[in-house]
Amino acid sequence: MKMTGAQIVWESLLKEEVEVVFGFPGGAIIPIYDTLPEYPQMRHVLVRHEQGAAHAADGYARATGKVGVCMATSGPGATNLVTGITNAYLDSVPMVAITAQVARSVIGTDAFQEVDTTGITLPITKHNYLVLDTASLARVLKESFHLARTGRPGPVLVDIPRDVLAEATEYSYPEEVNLPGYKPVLEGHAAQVKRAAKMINEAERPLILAGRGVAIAGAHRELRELAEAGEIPVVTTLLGIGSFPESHDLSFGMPGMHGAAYANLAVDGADLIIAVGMRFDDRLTGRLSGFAPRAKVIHIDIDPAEIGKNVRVDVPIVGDARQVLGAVVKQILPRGHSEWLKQLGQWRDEHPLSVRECGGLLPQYVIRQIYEATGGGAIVVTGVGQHQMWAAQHCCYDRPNSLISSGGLGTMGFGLPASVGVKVGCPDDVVWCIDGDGSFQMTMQELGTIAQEKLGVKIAIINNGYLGMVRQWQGLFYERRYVATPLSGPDFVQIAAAYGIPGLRVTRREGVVPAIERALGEDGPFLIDFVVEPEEDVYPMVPPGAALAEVIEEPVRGEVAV
Amino acid sequence: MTSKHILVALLEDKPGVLNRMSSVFRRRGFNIENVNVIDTINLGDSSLTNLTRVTIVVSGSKAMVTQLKRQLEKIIDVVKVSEIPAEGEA
Ligand SMILES: Cc1ncc(C[n+]2csc(CCOP(=O)(O)OP(=O)(O)O)c2C)c(N)n1
Ligand SMILES: [Mg+2]
Repeated sequence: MKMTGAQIVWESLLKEEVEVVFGFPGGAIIPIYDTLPEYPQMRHVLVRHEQGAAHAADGYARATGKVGVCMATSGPGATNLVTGITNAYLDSVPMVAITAQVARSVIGTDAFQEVDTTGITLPITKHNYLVLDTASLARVLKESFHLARTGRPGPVLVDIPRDVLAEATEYSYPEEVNLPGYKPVLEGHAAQVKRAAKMINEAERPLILAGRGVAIAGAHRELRELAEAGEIPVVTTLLGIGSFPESHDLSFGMPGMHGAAYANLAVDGADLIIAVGMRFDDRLTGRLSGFAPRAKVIHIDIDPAEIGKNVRVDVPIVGDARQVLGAVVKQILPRGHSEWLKQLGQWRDEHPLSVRECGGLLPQYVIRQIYEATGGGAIVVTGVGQHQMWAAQHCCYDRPNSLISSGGLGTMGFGLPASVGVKVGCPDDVVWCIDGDGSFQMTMQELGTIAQEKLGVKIAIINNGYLGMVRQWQGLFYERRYVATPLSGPDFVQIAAAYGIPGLRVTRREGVVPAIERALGEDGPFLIDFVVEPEEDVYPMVPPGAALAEVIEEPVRGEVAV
Repeated sequence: MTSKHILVALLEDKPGVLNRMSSVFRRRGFNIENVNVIDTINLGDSSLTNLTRVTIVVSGSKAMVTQLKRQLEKIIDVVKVSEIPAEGEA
């Protein structure tokens, strides 16, 4: 059947079972939008800025496990996507971004709204394409979805000149992909699996360090089986949170720069680290030379390039976390590690994650109340900064993908648009966007999207009047010179009201629970502006350049050596 | 220990693929001493069609070269990367 390029785009998306696209139109991409009414089964969510489209697709993908799709026009539309695509790239989020390009005849002439989109996105995509004939479009889209969702997932960008969209060609969707250079290894090498199992069986103080790869591979069950079979405690990275139930007896939280002290001590004390689907990010490891100094390391990851990149590995296993863990578990001898667990329990009792006594409104208190009110059933989406770390620390996440946060890129402004995607993907879940006043102001125009799409996102702004995380560093390492971090905000409740979204401001402890109850009682969106203690800092903290064991638990402002 | 290494990469003969390779060198800070590019048609080997062969001479530690090899293999259009012994090595 003959179809235009624009029709082929939608037909292909339907073949890939895409149900929603987050996008924003413009001149070059009109052909795609013009044919959208022919596909009433396709939902299009109009964002207010293309960065929001990419973050929404990202949030949708993390929450559902499906490929998130965003689209934008040529030039500024494409460049506005860049931050969102990079965010997805660093956190291995499956995404297909479709951009329109100027007509083939003028490519390379600096035509109006022409940018080298594939050039710009080359280092921030898993792969990208400039489609130069309509006949190859279906194949390119087939490959894009395959690449985005398989192996180590990531964003794939497809740039399509407007005349390629307008031209008609014979359409059939390919059944198979032919990518000779792309063959992800799924099954772990049998001999390596055996070595790993032996090492685990012999370890006195083993520790599982689980990352986002566990959630991506859907390996929660296998992870839990391994932990329980060998009585092995588990800590997770920021993005691994929820891949092992945090209420489980074997869970010891998150290590790293703002991880729990007991989790850091666990990494420091372990004699074997079993790292699964994680990449030893510097925010997690602290000073590399001081990372897990007593431990041998087993590293399970689907990306061979991650193995040995940052940390010396004793047993590397390239493969899909689910398959590898499944194979390892079969060779685990049931045994206890009661001494080790006793030690970890003692560290946890001695160094709990607590909230200090304070007459004012503490951000940690607010976050704990949100958690309590939702019984842990909500999906929490965050911005970037102190509030993000508190949200990671002070809720107990038992379900995979119940904390959605920007890890690798640390993108302020991620929270609100990502919540759009999460709520679209999981309409029956309670979705809380816990955002900072700074982060929120970067993308708060997406309130318009929330209002237009009637999305019941609950928004909690942790309003400290500062770019708090940067202020904290200035306080600790720059003698409290708070340059460019005090931040005035608008009246957030009025801003919400202007979009037709109800809201409340809370300045005292007594107001917290009623406001949260009120938000949960509303069917639609609701915003709460929590005006909190302005100079509260995030602890524990492993100062930059320090080892995890050098974790600081108490504020010692101005006395920390860098 | 730093020594010379020779990597041979086979790439799909597509526009932009050399750019993808050089982008990895640049971004990950690998220092390339010599690069040679040849279309495999010119090699007279019928098993290698529609491919480009790139030979890279790089000096660095074994770990660094392993990392470079893996980063190159990650490029979708790169079909295969192998290391061949440098001169003077067995
Ligand atoms: C786009 C972007 N710009 C700058 C930064 C650097 N940065 C990290 S945290 C932070 C402060 C965030 O402020 P806010 O959202 O109010 O959160 P808080 O730390 O106060 O909770 C800044 C500026 C960033 N992560 N992202
Ligand atoms: Mg703030």
